[in-house]
Amino acid sequence: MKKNRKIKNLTNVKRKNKTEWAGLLFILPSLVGVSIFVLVPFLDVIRRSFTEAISGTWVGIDNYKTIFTNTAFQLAAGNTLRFVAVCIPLLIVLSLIIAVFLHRQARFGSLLKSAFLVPMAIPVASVVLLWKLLFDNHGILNGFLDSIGMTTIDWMNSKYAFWVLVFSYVWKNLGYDIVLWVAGLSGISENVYEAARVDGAGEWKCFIKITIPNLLPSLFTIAVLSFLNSFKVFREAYLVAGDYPDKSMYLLQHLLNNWFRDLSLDKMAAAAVVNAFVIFVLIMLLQKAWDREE
Amino acid sequence: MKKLFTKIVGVSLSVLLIASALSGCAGGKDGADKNLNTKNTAAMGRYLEEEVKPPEGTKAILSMVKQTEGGIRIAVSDMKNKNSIWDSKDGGTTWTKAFDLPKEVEKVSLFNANIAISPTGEIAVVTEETGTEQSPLSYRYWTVGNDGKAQEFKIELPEMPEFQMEGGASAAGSQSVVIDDAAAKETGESEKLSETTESDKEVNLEGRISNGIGRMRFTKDGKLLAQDYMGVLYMIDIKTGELIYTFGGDDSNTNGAGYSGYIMGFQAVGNTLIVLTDSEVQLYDISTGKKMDKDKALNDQLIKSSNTGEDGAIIMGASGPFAADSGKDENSIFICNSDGMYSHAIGGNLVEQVINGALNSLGNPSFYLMDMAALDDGTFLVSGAEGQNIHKLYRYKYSKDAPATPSTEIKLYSINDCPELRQAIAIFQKQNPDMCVTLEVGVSGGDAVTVSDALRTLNTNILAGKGPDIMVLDGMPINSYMEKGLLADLSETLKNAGVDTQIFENIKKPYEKDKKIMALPIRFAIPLVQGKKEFVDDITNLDTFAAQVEKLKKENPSQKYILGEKDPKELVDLFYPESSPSWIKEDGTLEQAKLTEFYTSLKKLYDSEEHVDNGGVETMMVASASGGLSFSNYLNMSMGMWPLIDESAFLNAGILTSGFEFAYMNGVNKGLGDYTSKIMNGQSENVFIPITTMGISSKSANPEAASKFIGYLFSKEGQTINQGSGLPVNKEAFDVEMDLNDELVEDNVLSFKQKSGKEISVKIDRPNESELKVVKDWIGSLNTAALTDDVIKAAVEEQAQQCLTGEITAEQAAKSVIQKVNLYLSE
Repeated sequence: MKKNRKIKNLTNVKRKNKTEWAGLLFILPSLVGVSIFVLVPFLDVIRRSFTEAISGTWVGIDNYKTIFTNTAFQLAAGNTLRFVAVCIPLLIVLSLIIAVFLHRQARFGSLLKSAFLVPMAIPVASVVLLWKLLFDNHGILNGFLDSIGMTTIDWMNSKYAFWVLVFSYVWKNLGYDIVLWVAGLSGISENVYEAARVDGAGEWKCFIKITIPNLLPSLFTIAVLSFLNSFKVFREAYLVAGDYPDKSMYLLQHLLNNWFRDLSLDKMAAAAVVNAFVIFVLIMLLQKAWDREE
Repeated sequence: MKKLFTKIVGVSLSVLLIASALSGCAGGKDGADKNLNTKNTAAMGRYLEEEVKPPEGTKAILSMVKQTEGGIRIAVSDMKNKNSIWDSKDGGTTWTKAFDLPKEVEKVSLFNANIAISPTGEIAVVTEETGTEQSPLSYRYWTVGNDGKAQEFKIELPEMPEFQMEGGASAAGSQSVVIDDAAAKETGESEKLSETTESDKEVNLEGRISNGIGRMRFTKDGKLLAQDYMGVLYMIDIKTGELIYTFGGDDSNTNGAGYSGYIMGFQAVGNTLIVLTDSEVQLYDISTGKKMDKDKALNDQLIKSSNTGEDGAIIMGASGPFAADSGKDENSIFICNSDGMYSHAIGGNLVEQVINGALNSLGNPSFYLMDMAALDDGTFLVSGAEGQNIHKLYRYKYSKDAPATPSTEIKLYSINDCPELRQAIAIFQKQNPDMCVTLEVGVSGGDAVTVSDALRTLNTNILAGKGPDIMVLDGMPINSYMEKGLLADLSETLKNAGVDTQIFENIKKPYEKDKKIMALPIRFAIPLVQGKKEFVDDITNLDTFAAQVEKLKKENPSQKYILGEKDPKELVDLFYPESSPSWIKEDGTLEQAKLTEFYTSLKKLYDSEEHVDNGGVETMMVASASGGLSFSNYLNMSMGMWPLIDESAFLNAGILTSGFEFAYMNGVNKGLGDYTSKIMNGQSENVFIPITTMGISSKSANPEAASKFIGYLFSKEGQTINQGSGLPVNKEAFDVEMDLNDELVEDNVLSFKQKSGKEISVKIDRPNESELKVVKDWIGSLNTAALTDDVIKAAVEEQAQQCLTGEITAEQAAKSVIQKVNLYLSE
């Protein structure tokens, strides 16, 4: 009997190991690709962050010291953090509200969902053109302000440039997040709501006690994707305002782009390592929070 | 067993998939590199170029054609503009005079293109009769036989449409065009309108202009192919003057029907007429006049070889479109253009390069290709003009001992194209057949690549070990490259080339850091101001300049322009170089107060002039920008001298870039009386503008070869290559530059009548001792190189537009620039 149990345990361990190996095989092609195109080059970036750009001489942490005392880096990092801190909560909350509203719209729900996805289908070049037409000093928005007797604003060369960037990001990504939220909402059984309503729970109570807790798994995915998408806003910013936009919308990507133009590979490498580290920590924190909730 | 098989197949497929996905990452050098670097196994055999001496006393080669009976026949003109015909039976080694062109043909001036030689030796000549007020310019047509006797024949060409003056009105009154040959050669200006009537060459524009033959060639059976001034191509019987065929249109034989494009060039080879239009190559059967099937291979080659504009249309280059001659077989031809020499069989699928134009004079941008002859011994003769007035005859002879491609490659990179550099490359390669210099241009203008994009691509190549050996640093982050050790020290290079002492010390000095010279311009320009002595004397800096312009405007309210109409961009272009060095503070940031002063002065200058929407200036700026100069031609002093002469402006400000311009300026000052010129200071003093700044990459794969080329660029010979972009930094070459050619100074007197009725004459003469001393003193006083940083200039320009038009104040403009530029500087 004891022997049989032992054999059974051994078989289980074997099967478990076999399953793990099979899993590894599944991810192997993608792991090899990621290693070759991302991980190994990133190791080289880490190495370069401790050397001089052209000569390759070892300089220790000098490059890190340089970037942390560099005012352009401080400004760009600050702006990027500010942008993320403003945009992500704004986008998540706004998209959730609209998603809940759309989820309840039986008649026009899918039509409106598609409408919110339209900005994603517009090519960047067209978005940029639209942006220029709207926010230029002699653009449509200023034309409107002028026509109603208000003072015009140089949107792209003032502190408002940051908010133009925020608006652009939210406008473009709202539809995507709505779809993700709606997918999460569809997974919540209607029976739960009905049971709660029978017990006397109101709409707000249902939202707080049923909808939100059930959407927490989606929150992690949406937050990470929104965070990663926030880096893509640079395309529009660069195409509209070039290498040196107003300082309120001068992001880390601007700085890295300009450093590359000036062949400052050493500073770039150090900044990239710091950047990657911050992103990694943020995602780990998010994951930890999510795990705790689960 | 089946499971195992499935697993093996699965794993194999996965490995295959990964391997194929990664195969694209395989490194390796391209074909060109392989060719150039495999010295020991390199293929041997190449056509080498040698210069052939044309007949004694030749000033210009007018035409050259291979003769049916063997040998070649050439038409030349000598120093006295006497034209003669010569023969050579030994490929141009010796020449025998056949005859002088008879007096009937000599008595009027000949244009180079208006003479043709037939394969049997007959000559066709077009002469012109200068127009009078009663009758327009007319043309006469002659044939000259092998006996040297001329016989006139008549051609009935369709009449030209009525000439329209600008604005739509027909030409009338006493308006005439004064063609100033020398000025046109140097400055690129083609013609100037004058209200006076007497000058060197004068063409009456009243009413209708006569049609005439512009270019002509003979067919193998003695028929004349001629293109008239309306661009229509005819085949003419020279015995009767009959127009046998009119080529063009979709149907081959039409009466003046339009072509699908403008004819850039045409050649008769055997029984085939090759016509290069601005969009395609058309072939015609000469015996029937019928259009032949399209020769795709030839079409692709000639279209590819030509420069194409944004709309895909061919742009005529300096080297002319092409020349052609028949090969040994019926259908075989040789085609020559700036890309080289090609062999092709009409109707065939292959066009094979026989001679690479990049390795000899054919690729020289200043070489204007005229004729070619494929000789029976396998050599080629090519005639053409360098810079349009130095005529050359080259022989291309096959050498089996020369490597097929040069063993050493020097890679040169420039953001913008530079014709002078291309010319230097062509000459250097000719002198060094074992070296090949390739110029990569970052911003071609034909695509959407920006300077930043180009720099990022360059940096990627540098980091990948595929960077250039030499860089033209105009528009590049020079300081950043220096700090990172990307630029090698040029001191040794200059010393080894023996030119270190020949370079103006004060031009070199601003580039010396820690006894090293990392970058050095090959040319420079001097900012000058010109005007009445009493006006110019008060101008000492930008502030006093603006005050003087304001004062003159107040005293002369009816005067439309004081400095000439300048838009905000032009004003920044003009005053940025002399002012920007003063803006940089010790900590490397910009001084806002100085920048505010700059905008305030520019605003004063802008407000003192009347402004209209001037599309013309924009066009000029675009055109000059495509020429690749950092400081566009429209800033040249010569561009502002005409307003001084006709009293439409009181002051002229610009940059001095050539000896001719200096002579022209002196001539204007003398002609106008109490006029003078002096260095124009902005907010900084004694600033010069560096042009084409060179640097050698410390990562160069061929540092010795790169040094040799740089040495050549700074040598007297390399520095005398001048297309007007700037003054040479080599003192000896500078002396050559100031010692103007006879052609530029002989009888070069321009007469004008001013609005006040005063008649003045401007004589362009070689600078005398005292004038040379003046320009050398100016150069001796220069001690600051203008900033060539494109980022700062772009930010200043952007705000200037708004500030000068009154949308924002000078303070706001300066603040905005400071914010952007300080961000850039702090990076």
